[in-house]
Amino acid sequence: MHTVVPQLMAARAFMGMALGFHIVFALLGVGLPFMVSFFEFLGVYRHDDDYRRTARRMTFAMSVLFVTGALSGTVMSFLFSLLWPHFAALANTLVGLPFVMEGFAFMVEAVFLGIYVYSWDRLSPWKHWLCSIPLALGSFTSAFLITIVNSFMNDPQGFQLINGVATNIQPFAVMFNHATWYEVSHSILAYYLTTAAGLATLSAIFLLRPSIRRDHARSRYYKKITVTMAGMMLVLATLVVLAGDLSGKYIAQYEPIKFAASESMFQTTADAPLKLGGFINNDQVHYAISIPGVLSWLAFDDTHAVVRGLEAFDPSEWPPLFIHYFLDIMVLIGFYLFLIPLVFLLLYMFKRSYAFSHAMILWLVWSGPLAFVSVEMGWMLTEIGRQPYIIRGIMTTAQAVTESQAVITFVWIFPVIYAVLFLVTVGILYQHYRKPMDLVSVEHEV
Amino acid sequence: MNTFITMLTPYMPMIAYGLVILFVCLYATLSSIEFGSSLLLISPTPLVDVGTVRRYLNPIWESTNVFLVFALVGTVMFFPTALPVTSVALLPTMMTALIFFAVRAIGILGLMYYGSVSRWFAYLFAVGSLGAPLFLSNIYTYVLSGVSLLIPTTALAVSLWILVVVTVLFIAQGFFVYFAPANPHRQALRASYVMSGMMFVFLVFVLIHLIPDVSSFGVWCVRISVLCLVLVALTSAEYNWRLVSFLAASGALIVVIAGIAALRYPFLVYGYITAPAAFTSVLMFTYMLFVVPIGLLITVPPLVWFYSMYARALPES
Repeated sequence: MHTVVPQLMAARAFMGMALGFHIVFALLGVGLPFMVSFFEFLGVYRHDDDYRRTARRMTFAMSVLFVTGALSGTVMSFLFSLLWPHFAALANTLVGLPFVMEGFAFMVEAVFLGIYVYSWDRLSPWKHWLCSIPLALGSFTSAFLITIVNSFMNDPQGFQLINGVATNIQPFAVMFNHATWYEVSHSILAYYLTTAAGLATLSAIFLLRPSIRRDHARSRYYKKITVTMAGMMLVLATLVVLAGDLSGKYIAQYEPIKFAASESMFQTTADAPLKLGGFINNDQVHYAISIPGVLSWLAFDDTHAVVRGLEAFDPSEWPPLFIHYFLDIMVLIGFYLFLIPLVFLLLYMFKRSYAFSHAMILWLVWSGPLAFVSVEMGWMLTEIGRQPYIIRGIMTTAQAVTESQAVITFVWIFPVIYAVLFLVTVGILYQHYRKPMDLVSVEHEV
Repeated sequence: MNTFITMLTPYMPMIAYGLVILFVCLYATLSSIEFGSSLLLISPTPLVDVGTVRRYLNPIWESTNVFLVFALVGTVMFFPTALPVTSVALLPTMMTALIFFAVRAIGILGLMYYGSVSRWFAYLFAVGSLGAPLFLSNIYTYVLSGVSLLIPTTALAVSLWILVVVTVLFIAQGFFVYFAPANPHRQALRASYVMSGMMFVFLVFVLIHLIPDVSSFGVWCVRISVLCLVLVALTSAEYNWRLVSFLAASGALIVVIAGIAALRYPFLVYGYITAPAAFTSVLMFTYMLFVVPIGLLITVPPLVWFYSMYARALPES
C-alpha cells in the first residue's frame, strides 16, 4: 500500500475535473455526427432544404467542438498514465487492445470530419451524406471502446492475478464483461439524448425571440426543428430509461455495494423500499419518500426479493454515501427528459397553439442544460461509487496513484486553463449562432 | 500461426519499439508543419502569406494530433511496466507540455473560427506551438540520457531545445516551399529555408556527439544520411523540385529520430529500463499487432484522399 495521501486527493480532484470537462465535449462529439447525419439524410431523401441547411449549420459546431474535445481527450490519455501509473502498468496489459482500436476509431473520426466539413460544395448531396456515416460510426466506436475500458474497471474479468501479475489473459473476456453492454448502451444513448436536448434548447431559444415569432418563414423553420428534436428526445429518453433500468439490475447483482450506497440501503431487507430524495445522516435517510417493495422489484423483478444493505459489507469498502444524491438527480432529470417532449408532442398533435406557448417552450429550453447535468451525475455516480477501488476488488486508487508531488501544483493550474478554453469555445459558438438561420439557400450557411 | 508467433516472440519488443518510433516520426513531421506555421505567422519579416497558412491549418490540423495519441498509446500499451518509474520522472514536463497544448488549442480556435484574424490568437497559437514540442523534447532527453529535467540545464537538453525550434521552422518552410509556390515572399522564404537547413545539420552533428555510449559507426551513418538529405532538400528547392525538397527535409528529420532511437535500443530510458524488460504480454501484443495493419488500411486511404482533395483545391496547385 502506498501512503501518498496529498497526491491522492490532488490526483482524484484533477481526474474528476478533467473527466467532467471532457465528457461535455466527448458526448457532443458522439451525438452531433449522428444528428448531422440524420438531418442531412432527411434533407437529401425528402428534398427538404430546411434539414440540409440545419445539418450544414451544425457542421461549424462540430468542427469547433472537435478542437476542444480532442485537446481534453489528449489530456485524459496522458493523465491515465501520469496520475495512475500503477493502474496503467496492470490495466494496459489487459485493456491495451481497446485502447489501440480506439486510436484508429479516433483517426477515422478526425479524417472524415475534415472530409465532411470540406466537401459540402465538392460532392453531390448523396455522396456527401455517405461521408457522414464513417464520421458517426467513428465517434460511436470511439465511445464504445473507451466505455469498455471503464466497464473493465467496474467488472474485471478474463484474467488471473498471481503475485500482482496478470496471467491467463483472455482479451475478449476482459473487454466483454458483465458490465460492458449495460454501460455502453446506457451511456451512448444518453449522449444522443443530451445532444438532441441541446439542439431542442437552441431552436426553442430562437422561438422565444419576438423577432423570430413575427418572421413567418423563420418561425415555421424553428418550430419544425423543435418538433423533430422533441420526437427524437422522446424515442431516445424511452430507450435511456429502459437501458438505465437494466443497468440498475446489473449493479444490484454484480456491484451490490455500489447499489446499496446509491440507494441508501443500510440494512439488508426483503421488500426493500425505493427512497426518493431525503437527506443522509448517521446511517439513515431522513425525509425521503419511501415506496415499499419497489426497490426489490426494480433490482430483481420481485417485490419480496432481499436487497443487501451496506451493513453486509466491510465499511472500509463503502463508497461515499452522497452518491445517492447523484442517482436521484440523474433519474429525476431522466424522467423530465421523457415527460417534457411527450407533453409537447401531445399538445402539438391535439392543441398546437399550447405546444408553442411561452411556458411550454421554456420547459423545452431547460431540457438541454439539465441533460448535461444528468450525464455528469451519471458518470460521478459510477466512478465515485466504485471507490475506494480503481479496479473493483483488485486495486484501490491509493495503490494506483503516482508518487510525484508535482500533481499538487498542476491541479491548481489546469482549471484555469480549462476555464479559458471553455469560455473561448462558447464565445466562438455564440458569435456564430446568435444570428438566426439564413433561409435563402443551403450554400449560404457555413 | 503458433509457430509464426513463437518465431516472432524474441523480436516483439523491437517491433513494438519500432512502431512507437514510426508514430513519433509521423507526428514530429506533420506537427512540425503546424508548429512552424505558427512561428511564420508572427514572423516580423513576412515569409508566407497569412491566408495560405490559415488554409493549410483549417481543416486538416486535426489529423496531426492523432499521431501524438498513437505515439502515446503505443508507448504505454506496449511497455506498461515502465510507467511507475517514467511517470514520476516525466510528470512535470508532460503536464507543462499539456498546458501549452491547451494554449495552442485556444489559439487555433480563435485563429480558425473567430470572425476576424486576431493577432492575439496568433500569438497564443505560436506560444503554445513552441512550448509544447520544447517540453515534449524533454522526454527525448530522458530517453537518451536517463536525466529528467523540466528546464534544460545540460548540454544535451539545451541543444535538443534549439534543434526543436530549428526543426519546426525547417520542415514548415520546406512544406510551404512546396505548397505555396506563388507565395509573394518566396525569395525570403527560400533564404530562411536554406539557413534553417544548415543549422539543422549543425545541431544534429552536435546533438549526436552529446549522446552517451553510442556506436561511432552508427553516429556517422546518421550524420552522413542527414547531411545528404538536407543537401537534396535545399538544392531541389532551388530547382523547383518542390515535392522532393519537402520529402527530403522530412526524411532528414525521420533519420534523426529513428536513427538515434536505433542507436539507443534496447534502452527505453538509458541506464534504467529496457524495452524487453518493460514489454507487455506476448498475447496482448499479438492481438494489437493484428489491429495495427487493419487500422492503417481503414484510415490511411481516406487520409490520402482528404489531403489530395485539399491540395487540388488550393489556387497554387
